[in-house]
Amino acid sequence: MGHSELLPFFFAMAYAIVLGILFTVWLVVTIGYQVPTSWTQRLKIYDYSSLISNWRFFAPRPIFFDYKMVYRDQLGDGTILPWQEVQMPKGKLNRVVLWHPEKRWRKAFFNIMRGMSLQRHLFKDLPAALQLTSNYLYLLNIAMGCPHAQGTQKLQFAVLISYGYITERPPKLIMHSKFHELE
Amino acid sequence: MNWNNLPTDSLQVAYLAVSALMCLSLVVSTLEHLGNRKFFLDSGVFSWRVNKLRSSFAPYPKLLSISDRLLGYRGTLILLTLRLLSVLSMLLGLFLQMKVGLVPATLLLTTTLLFNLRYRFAEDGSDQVNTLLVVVVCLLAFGQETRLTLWLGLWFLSLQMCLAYFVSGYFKLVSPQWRNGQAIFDVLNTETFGRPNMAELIQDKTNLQKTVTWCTLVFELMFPLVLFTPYPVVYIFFLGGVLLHGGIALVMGLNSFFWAFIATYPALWICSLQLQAVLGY
Repeated sequence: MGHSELLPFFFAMAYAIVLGILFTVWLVVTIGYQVPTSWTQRLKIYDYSSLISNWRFFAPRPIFFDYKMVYRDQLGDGTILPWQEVQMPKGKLNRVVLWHPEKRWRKAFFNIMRGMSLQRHLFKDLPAALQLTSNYLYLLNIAMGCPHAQGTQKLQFAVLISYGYITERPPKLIMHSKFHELE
Repeated sequence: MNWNNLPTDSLQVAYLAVSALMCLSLVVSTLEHLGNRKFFLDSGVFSWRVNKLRSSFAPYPKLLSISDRLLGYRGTLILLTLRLLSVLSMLLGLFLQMKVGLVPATLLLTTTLLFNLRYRFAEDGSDQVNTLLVVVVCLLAFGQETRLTLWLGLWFLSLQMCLAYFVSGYFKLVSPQWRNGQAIFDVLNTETFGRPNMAELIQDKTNLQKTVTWCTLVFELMFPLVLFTPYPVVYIFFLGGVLLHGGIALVMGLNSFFWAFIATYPALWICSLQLQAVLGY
């Protein structure tokens, strides 16, 4: 005897009705979310478990640039060392079809940078407040986690935009931090 | 494997196929997360120390302390390991008993939703599809896989996928950079999503850029027709999807999109068959 036969009929029906309502509401909300308005974007704030999908994938504005992050160390005697680039992990080309964990780091990095870039405009009249945003703290955390010279007391980081592999456009500075004490 | 236990009902077959393919997709994605474990450390890009500041728990100290234990570095590794075990045990159940087990389903749903709290800011399209799959497959398992709930779940998945392809195509259509083919070079020219050799290959080849873009665009816009297309023409859509996602995996390295999207195809197949029966093709 199957499980469904053991279930009282009304329980099975009630469950189906609940699922039907849930799936309908979910679908309608997802459709609404595809149209980027302030109201629909606000929905995402409460979507703690990422149930509402954004299906716009690289559109309408395609991505044509990379974010770069550089940092430099300041030693105890005040010497400032040259800028160093934060290295993106890269997957080997012969295996990325099957195994490509590095793409997740790059996506996270890109999202943080994009968030930082947007927040920079929001806080243009109050630049100090930018340092309290989670995106700024992410970047500071990444810079802190990079290798540092012996005796480093402080570090500074900067964010740049570069325009891909084949380009004649020079990278553009987006923002730079003040010097922060190294933990 | 009990060969007498093989399902004869197409609806059940579609549900089991979705579940099995979802398991494969989750094995790849969970192993990739575990492979990235050092980035979940407090000094890493997925640091919980920073991540928790943007979480909904931030204003509530008690919740924050619980989430520290659940979603901190160790907690995340335990969560991912439990997710992997639940997926493997679900696969085993599918193979041996031809059904989705309630215990693996509960564990999988819980670990996935908790992990999403942790990983919310970095998710990609394949994570979104995987979340849809997990919630639908598990909720259907909790409902004892009755015919009505199976139809509801598989139709929901199919409509979400039709929406996904159509929205992606529509927003490309309204963009001048996509319409003139430039966008495909732009994306492939980035270090984040592209490859230098692919960018070189299509640089200045306007016709190639336009052809690839318009093939993708037309395929995505027409995808909802999969539900109305009679057998065997309908398989062109599935073949197109395999080629599209396979190409994206090869060229852009977005391998997890392939597994996640293909896992939904059995749902589209059965819903298409049902609609054709209703429409009397």
